[in-house]
Amino acid sequence: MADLLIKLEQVKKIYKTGEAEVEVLRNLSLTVPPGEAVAVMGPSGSGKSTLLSIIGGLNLPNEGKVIIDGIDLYCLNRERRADFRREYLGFVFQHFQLIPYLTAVQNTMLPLTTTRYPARKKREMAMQALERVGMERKCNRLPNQLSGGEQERVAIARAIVNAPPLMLADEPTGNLDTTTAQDIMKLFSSLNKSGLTILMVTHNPENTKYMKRTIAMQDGVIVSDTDSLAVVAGNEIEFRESAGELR
Amino acid sequence: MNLYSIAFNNMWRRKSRILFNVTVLLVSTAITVTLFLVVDSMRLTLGDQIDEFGSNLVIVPQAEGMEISYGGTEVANTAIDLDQLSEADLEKISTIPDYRSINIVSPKIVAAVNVNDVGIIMVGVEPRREFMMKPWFTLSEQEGIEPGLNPGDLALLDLPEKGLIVGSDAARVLNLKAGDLVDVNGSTFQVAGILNRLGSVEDGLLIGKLSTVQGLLNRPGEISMIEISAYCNECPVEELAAQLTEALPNGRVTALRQAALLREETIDRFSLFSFLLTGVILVVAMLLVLTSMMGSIHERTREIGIFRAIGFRGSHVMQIILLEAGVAGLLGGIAGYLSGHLIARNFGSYLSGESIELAWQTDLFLPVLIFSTTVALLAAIYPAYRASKLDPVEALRFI
Amino acid sequence: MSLLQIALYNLNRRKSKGFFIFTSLVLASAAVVAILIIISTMQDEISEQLADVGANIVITADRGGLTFQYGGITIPELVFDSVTLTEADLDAIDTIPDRDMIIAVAPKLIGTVSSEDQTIVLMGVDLPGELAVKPWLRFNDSGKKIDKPVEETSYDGQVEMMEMDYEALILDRMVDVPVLGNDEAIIGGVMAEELGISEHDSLELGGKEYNLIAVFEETGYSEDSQLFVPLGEVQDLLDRPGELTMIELTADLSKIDESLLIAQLENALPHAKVTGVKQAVMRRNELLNTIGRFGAFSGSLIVSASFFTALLTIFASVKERTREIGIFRAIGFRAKDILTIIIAEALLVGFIAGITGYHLGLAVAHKISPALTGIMLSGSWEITALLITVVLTAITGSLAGVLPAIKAARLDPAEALRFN
Repeated sequence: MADLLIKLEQVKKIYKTGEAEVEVLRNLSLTVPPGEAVAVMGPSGSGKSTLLSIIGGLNLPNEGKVIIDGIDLYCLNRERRADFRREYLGFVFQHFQLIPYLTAVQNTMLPLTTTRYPARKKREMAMQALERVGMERKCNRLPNQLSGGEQERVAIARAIVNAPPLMLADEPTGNLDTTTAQDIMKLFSSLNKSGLTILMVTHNPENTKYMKRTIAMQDGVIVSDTDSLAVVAGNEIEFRESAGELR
Repeated sequence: MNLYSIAFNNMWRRKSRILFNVTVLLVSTAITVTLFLVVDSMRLTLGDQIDEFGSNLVIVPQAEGMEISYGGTEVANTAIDLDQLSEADLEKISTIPDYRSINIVSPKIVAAVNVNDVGIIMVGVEPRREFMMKPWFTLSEQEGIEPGLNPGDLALLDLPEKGLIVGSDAARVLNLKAGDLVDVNGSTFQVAGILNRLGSVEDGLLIGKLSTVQGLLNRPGEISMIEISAYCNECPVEELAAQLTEALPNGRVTALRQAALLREETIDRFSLFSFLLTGVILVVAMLLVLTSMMGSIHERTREIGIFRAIGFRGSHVMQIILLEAGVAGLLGGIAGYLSGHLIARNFGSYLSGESIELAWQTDLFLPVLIFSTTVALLAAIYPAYRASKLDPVEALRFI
Repeated sequence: MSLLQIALYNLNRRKSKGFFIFTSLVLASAAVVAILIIISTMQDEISEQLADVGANIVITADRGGLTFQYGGITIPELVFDSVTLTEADLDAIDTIPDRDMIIAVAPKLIGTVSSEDQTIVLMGVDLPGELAVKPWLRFNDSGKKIDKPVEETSYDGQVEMMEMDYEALILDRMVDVPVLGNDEAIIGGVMAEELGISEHDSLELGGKEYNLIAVFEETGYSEDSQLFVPLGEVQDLLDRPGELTMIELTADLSKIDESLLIAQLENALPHAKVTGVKQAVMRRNELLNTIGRFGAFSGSLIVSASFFTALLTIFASVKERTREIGIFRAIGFRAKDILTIIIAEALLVGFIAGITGYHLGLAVAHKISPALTGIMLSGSWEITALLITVVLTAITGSLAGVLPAIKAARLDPAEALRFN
């Protein structure tokens, strides 16, 4: 494993909506070493979701380099990037994004579908992942038979099923109540402790205390990059103010 | 913003979906319109084809001893011999009201003649007209063309004054070949060609030019039979026979039963089948519209849930859906009517083998429009009703 | 879990979505089968019916007596050799392999006799055979009508639509026709007028009295000036026992090639000349050509229209799955994997829909059509139709699915996830 798991160099992303051009990321650079847990905060439109999808190989940057685990992501073609996502990344999307006609365990198994593991092994791996998120008992339910928190857990199980080094999460608690959100954050924290690197986009400052590092973004640039524990312990008030400002 | 502007906004934003509904309606309407038009023109084409093929009316002189009366009034005795037909009668044919329906008029004179002391029937014809009317007459041998080579087309043959076309049985009886000189009633003719065997009475004939045969028999201007090929689509053959009877009191006009029967049977059969065909198409078109409309409304369940969730009544949802369906039906109907005509016009010539003019059937426009709109609305009612009854929570869950 | 299983789970769990695609494919294939069967039956029926109107094969002696008659003029028999057809030849016709294809046989002896200073053309006929070959012969209204207690067998409702005698004759050759007694005759319309006689009169021929039981309506053909007498009577009158001048045949040329049948007949009757009636054959070919073109046109019109609609439906439905495809892409599925899922679904639905549609189409053709029109449809097309529909449906299904799937797979997953 390389020294740095994520390395972004001067990344620029421009969206074109008709005539207007919006610069979403402005020459953004960022490094994340392995084992880190990063919370990315910022108001809507600050570019945090775009940052996440660019790290995930979902969205091409206009300029700059994205190197994950020593691989220059955008030197790969579309299909190789898909392979990369399958092997290196676990993705937890906003709104869970479960396939509605597949059960919890089937959804969890999805990243393994095209691997050469025998069917029993795939199921075993999926059940293990579900166990880690505490969903093994409801493994045969369809997404619409699960609550929001449960769907989130299934989505996390799907992200970790093939033991990727990195997990990306986009607003994982956005649609959940406070208690459930706390449970999910505790789950994230324990996954991180077992060695998973996590990059999470969130609105909720409460979530930052479960992460080691917090990045604040505004208008496509990183405005602060601090140790989360410090934020929570000493400068909570200050941070709240700055977050309020940002908002 | 009212309901209708929501419906129209929605249609505008989701152009591909309205396009889909309109296209399905267009295709369904277009095939129905095309088939209607094509069946219609096929019926006429088939009729024409049968009518062109041989004669369907024959006029012979009134039989001896017949009372010449028409509609109860005695026809005045004229100077010409009432029992005979003459070339003057040919012109009278063109005076009948439905003259335009007549395709080919082929006058002929028929007489028994002597060839080498054998009695045989000779017919004087206008070769072009006769052979055009009977395209199944073909030559097996032609004078000036080596045996084994293909003889020319009879309708294009220029029969010389003293030329003869000989039927296959007659050639057999008289032992004639193409190019032979033959003595008919003391006058010498040359055999211009021998007909292939036809399997009918014409196999026993000698065929010469009308004027030559009239001269030979010393019966100038006289005609013993007129065969007529007429188009009977607009004017039934019985009607034409009645008009001809009136115009030619000295003739006995008969509509050929075989031709009439064949025509009637063929057209009847065709009509029956095309009725079935159109029926199937109509039903299929309707069902296709129904499933695709239902499918497309089904896809919108989630959106309908949002409308319901923000307080739209079931009837509002129904109104929006039905309005969309109606607009799609109207657009599809207009486009289908136009494209149906275009298809039928472009393929009409392929169908009849020759180019035909297909008129724009304007009286079809309204029924087509009503058809497509009604089908679209009918197809939308059930899914709209179901959508309006949907529990909003349920609908929002739906992906 | 494999890609195939994903496809199966989708079909199984989203039945209502699959239902619309399935239905439109079923409709398309059912339409194709029904239409193909209707068109092929139409061609068969019309071709059969064209063959029915009039004789289409004539058998004459290779060298023998000829009686010429045209335009009201009759030339008495020209005998130039002694070979003739005999009634034994009728039995020979029965021996040919494709005897079934011959619908009607009309043997006849034609001759002339003098009566009251006039030459009369005698047609020695077998009346049922003659009427079958010439369905346009009708008895004068004032004359004796053909009673037709039509046997309502396989035709059922169809017969009711036919009101005229000769049509019934065409339909069902088992219709009762009057038996021509040994001292009875039927006279052609023009001849009756010329002789000034009508039915119930009698006519003396060769010292024997014949009762005229009916007069034929004018047809415009040579029958108008002929006298129809039983075959045996003419043979006696002319002193030519067992002899025939010619045999007219009506054959069903929709099922057998004319030249093949003629070859068989020539084989069975080596001394006879067998000719196809050129007019009938050529007319038949021309009309069938036209109808064939119509069939091809309307068939392909309907096939393409219904499959186009099915294509659209599938297209739209896969388009709605853009987001789902985005999820697959985001968690690392290759475009190929997604296509595999979509095509597997389409093939499966298309295959089942093709078979269902085939049976539905058959049901329409066999059950609904006879009830509606009285036409019994039967296709020689059926196996071909099954193949065509199944293959077409499967191809349509996958083709329609692949296009939007490729489009969705090429979309940036981030974009696709935001879709709808």
